[in-house]
Amino acid sequence: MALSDVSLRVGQRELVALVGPSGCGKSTLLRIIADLETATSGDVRVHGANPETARRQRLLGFVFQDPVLLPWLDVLGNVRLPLEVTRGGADGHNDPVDLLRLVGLVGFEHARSWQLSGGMKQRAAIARALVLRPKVLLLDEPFGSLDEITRQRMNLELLRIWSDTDTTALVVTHSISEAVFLADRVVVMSARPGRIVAEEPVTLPRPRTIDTLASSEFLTIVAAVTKRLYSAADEIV
Amino acid sequence: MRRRAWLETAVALLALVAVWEVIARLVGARFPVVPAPSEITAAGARSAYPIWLNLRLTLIEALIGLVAGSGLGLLLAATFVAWPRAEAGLYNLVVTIHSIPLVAVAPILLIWFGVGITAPTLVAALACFFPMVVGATRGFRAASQSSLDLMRVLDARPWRSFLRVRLPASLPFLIAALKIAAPAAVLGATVGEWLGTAGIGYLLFSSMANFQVALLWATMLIAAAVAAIGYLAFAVVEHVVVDWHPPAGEG
Repeated sequence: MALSDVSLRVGQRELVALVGPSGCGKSTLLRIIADLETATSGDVRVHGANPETARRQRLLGFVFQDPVLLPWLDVLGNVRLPLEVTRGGADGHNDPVDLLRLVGLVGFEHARSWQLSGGMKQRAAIARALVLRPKVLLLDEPFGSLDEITRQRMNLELLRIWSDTDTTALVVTHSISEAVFLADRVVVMSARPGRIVAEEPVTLPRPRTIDTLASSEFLTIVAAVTKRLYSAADEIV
Repeated sequence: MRRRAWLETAVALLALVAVWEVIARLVGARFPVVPAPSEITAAGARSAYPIWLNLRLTLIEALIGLVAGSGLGLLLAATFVAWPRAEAGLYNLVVTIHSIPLVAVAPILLIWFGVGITAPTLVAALACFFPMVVGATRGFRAASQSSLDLMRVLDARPWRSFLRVRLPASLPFLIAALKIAAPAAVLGATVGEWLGTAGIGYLLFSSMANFQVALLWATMLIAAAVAAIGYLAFAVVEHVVVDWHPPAGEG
C-alpha cells in the first residue's frame, strides 16, 4: 500500500504544497487526483466530482516533472495540443498565443523542444496545462530537474501565473523552501506508509518576491516545516 | 564536411574501378571469370533493353511485395500492441517463419503458384514482413509513458491520441524498418525469380548457365544499385520527416 490515512482538503484558489521524502506517495496522491491511478479505497472529489468525471470535464491541468513536449511539434503546436486532441465544444479556452505571453515565451512560438532550455520547456508545459482553463492545476515536481537559480526564477513565474489565472494549485515538491515560498499551506508527508503527518499554514504576505526568501518569517516557517518533516522521519528510523 | 566525405568515397570508388580494370586486363586472358569494368559496362549497354524488361518486372514484384509485406507486418504489430496476448502467442511463430531461408521458400511457392509474378512477389513480401513487425512493434510502444499520461489527462479520444502521439513517435522506427525492407524486397523478388522465366533473378541465372560472365556482373551491379536506391529513398524520407532532432553538431 502506497498511501494510508490521507485526508486533505484544498480550497478554491488555494495553493497547497505537498512536501515529503521520496517514496512518501506525494506523486501517487497527485496522480490519483488526476485519475492517472486509482485508489483502492477512499474518496477523492474535485469540485464535487470523482476524479474520472473531473478529468472528463477537464477540470484538471497537469504539469509533469518531465515537460513532455512532443518533439515533432513546435512550442505553439504543443500548447495547442489539448485543443486538438479534445472533442470540440469545450466551453471556453485560453488563446495559446496569450498563454505564451503569460509564461514569457513570446518569440519562441516556432521553436522545437530541443532548442529550448529546461526552464523554457517547463514554461511551455505550464502554458499547455492552462489552455483548457482548468479549475485545478496539479504540478508534480515541476522544476525538479532545473538548477537552483532557474528553479527560483520559475517559482516566481509560477506565482505570477497562478495569481493571473483563476486556478487552485497543488504542487508536489521535495524542497521545503520551495514549498513554503509557493504555498498558502504546506502539507508534510511521510513514507512507509505514505501519510500526511502535519500541515503548516504559510502566513507570508503576497505577492512574494526574492526578498521574501530572506525574511525572518520565511525562515521561521521553513524551520517549522523542517522540524515536522524530521520528527516524522525519526519515528520510522 | 559531408560533401567532402562524398567526394572521398567517389574518389576511392573510382580508384578501385581503375585498379580493377588494370588487373583484369593483365590477367584477364588467363582468368576470364572477373571481367574488366569496361567489359561489364559494354555488356550492360549491349543488353540494355532485355535488362530493362527484366528489371521492370522485378521492380513491380518488389514494390508489391514491399507494400504487402510491410502492410501485413504493420497490421500484425498493431495487433501485438493492442493485444499483448497475441504477441506472446504469435511472436515465436513469426521468428520461426523468418528463420526459414528465402531460397527454400522460393521453390515451394513456385510449386504452389507456378511460374509467374506470384511466387517472387510473395518472397519479396516475406522478406519485408519481419523487419516491419519488429520495427512497428517497437515503434508503437515508443511513445513515452508521460506523453500517454498527458493524453489521458486531456481525455483525448484514442484515435486522436494515436494520430497525435503514438504514430509520430513510431515514425523513426517505421522508416528504419522500411530502410531494411526496401533492399530486402529487391533481394526477395530476385530470389523468387531464380527458378522462373523472367526478371533480374532469372537473368542472373541464365547468364550464369550460358557463361555470359560480363552480363552476369552487369545484372548483379544493377540489382545492387536498385536495392541501394530503395534504401536511399527511405533515408531521404527519414531526413525530411523525422526533423525533430538537432542537426548534427548542434544541441
